[in-house]
Amino acid sequence: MKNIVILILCISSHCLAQLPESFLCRKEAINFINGKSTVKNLNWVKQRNDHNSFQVFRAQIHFNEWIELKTDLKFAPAISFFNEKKYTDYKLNSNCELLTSTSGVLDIFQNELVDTSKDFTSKDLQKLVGSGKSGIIYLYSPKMTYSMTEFSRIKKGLMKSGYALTALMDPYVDPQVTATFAKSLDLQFKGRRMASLDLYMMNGLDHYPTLFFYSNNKLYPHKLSGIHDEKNIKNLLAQWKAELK
Amino acid sequence: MNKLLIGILPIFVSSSSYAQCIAPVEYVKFTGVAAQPESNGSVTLGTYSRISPDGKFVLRSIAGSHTSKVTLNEIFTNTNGKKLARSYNTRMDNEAFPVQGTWRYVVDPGGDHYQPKEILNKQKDARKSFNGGINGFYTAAAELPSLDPNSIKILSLSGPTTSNNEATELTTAVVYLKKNSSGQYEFDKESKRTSICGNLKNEKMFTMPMISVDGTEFSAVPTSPANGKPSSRIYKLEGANCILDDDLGFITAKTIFGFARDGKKAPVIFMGNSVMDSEEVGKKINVSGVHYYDRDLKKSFYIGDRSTDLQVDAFPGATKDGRIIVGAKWKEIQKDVPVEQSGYVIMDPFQSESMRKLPDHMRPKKCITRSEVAAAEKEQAGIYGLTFSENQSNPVSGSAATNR
Repeated sequence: MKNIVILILCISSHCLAQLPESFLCRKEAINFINGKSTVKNLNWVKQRNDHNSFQVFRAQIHFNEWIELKTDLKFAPAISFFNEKKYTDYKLNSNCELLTSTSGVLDIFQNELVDTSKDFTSKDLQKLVGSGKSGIIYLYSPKMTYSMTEFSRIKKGLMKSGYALTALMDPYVDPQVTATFAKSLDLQFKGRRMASLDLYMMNGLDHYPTLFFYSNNKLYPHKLSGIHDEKNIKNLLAQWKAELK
Repeated sequence: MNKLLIGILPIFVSSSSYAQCIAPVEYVKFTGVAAQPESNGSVTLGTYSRISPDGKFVLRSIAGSHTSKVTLNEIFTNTNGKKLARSYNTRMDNEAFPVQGTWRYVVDPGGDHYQPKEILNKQKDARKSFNGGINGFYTAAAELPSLDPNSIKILSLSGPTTSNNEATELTTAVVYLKKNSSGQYEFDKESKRTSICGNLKNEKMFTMPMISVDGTEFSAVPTSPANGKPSSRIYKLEGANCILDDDLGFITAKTIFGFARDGKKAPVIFMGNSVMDSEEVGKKINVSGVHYYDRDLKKSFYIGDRSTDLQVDAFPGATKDGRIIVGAKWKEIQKDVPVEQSGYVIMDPFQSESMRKLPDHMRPKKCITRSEVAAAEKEQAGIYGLTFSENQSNPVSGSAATNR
């Protein structure tokens, strides 16, 4: 029987941000999104504020399918739908009518950066999460030393606890540079490049190392960035695992 | 005629009031060995770049194959009046850090403290001033405010260590220096290492800590927050207690403090990835951009230049006068062809596109002035014990310099 895979779920206290009560063209934007999305009651995650009344929210629709909503008190919202192959932007005018739509490809999915036939895509993520196992996705980069120097220690600790581990490279760094740095540290590991839209939209590339956790066919909605000692990680993962049951 | 004068006057007043503003964005290219490409053709920016309070120096790790692991980079003005950045080798190991606030010392992760002047003069042969402070992950240090000119207190903050499998909290230690008969500071004593934030109970475990420039606050992400939403937060240090002061509401990369201005809270800056429209129609790009969080306004602002395809590294820094400096790659048009450049970008956050969108009454200030920059440079020159040449940019205190 094929496993049912849930990417992001709303876990009790972890329920994600709600959209603001007021922003320009709120009703029209929500109606538009509901008309396009097959999933109702999206779990919005608030991103940073860019300035004053401007806010950005993201929500996952399905694996490899995301939506981003930019809201403002004074300006009409912008709505973008993403998948690995393309994104489409929709802009409303000040009368809250659909003004334009444009399409393009996110930079990491352009051929010169990642190769979706070799690199770790959302399809791979779906397969991994759907394996039913419990495991960690570990993102590393030579841009942040600890993410590589501490990899072996973290790997050993996680494997001892019975977790599978998938290491993925920063896609913005030349793999040759990463390999050279690993060699200089006498490290014997090599991961695939991160090319998953889902991990990208969950801000997996903001800091290294960043860990994502999956268990029971679900991906935990929060990431863990930075270095932690083994006991701390172990306790946290046990808590996350219990929440995913 | 009167009509003409009325038309001209506001323009004159306006341009005059901005006359002393620094440039909103200034690009500083690497020169010498710092500019030599690696075998893959790319110039190394380095990582964990820390910016001095006067914006003249950058301490960076993983500096590439042409230099030592850690270099002290200097932003200087050449004889043609052009700002460039050159590297000085050091004997320090990756993740070296400065004593923030003054930059009186830069510190090897093993605890050896070096004066910047000693490195500029002797590079790898520089002698340490003393060994002290704590080590561990994410170690950072700052000089605590003091009214006593004869003593200095340096607070170090560090995360858990690999040698200890027990869950460890953030820890601090204080190094005390006193002035000797020659007027030089020397090591006096060191406090015991103290675990902090016990008052936060189950929320006392953090990742990505960073101390403020005056050592009275720190930023970090709690790993198991009570509300279940890990986010970048700012705490005041009151003895061993940690008092929550601000919550950015989302997880940033390492959050780095700037200097507080006139009774305001110290701002923080961080690198974040933003998906934004490219200049090319129908294309989106992921921009690694510097964001500035004003803790009084409780708003964050994107600080950057969208015209040059600016890609910044993860560790921006702020100067005492408020400038933001960050290692970066950008595109420069040469004979109609965009050519990648590497070095540092110096930005005035108050003149940024996003800050300018604020209503006037909310804008913290219009711009940073040249005299504010000069004042920060003069104060730092005294702390370094360096004198600068006419253009206030090149150290002349026996610098063994450069480009090697």
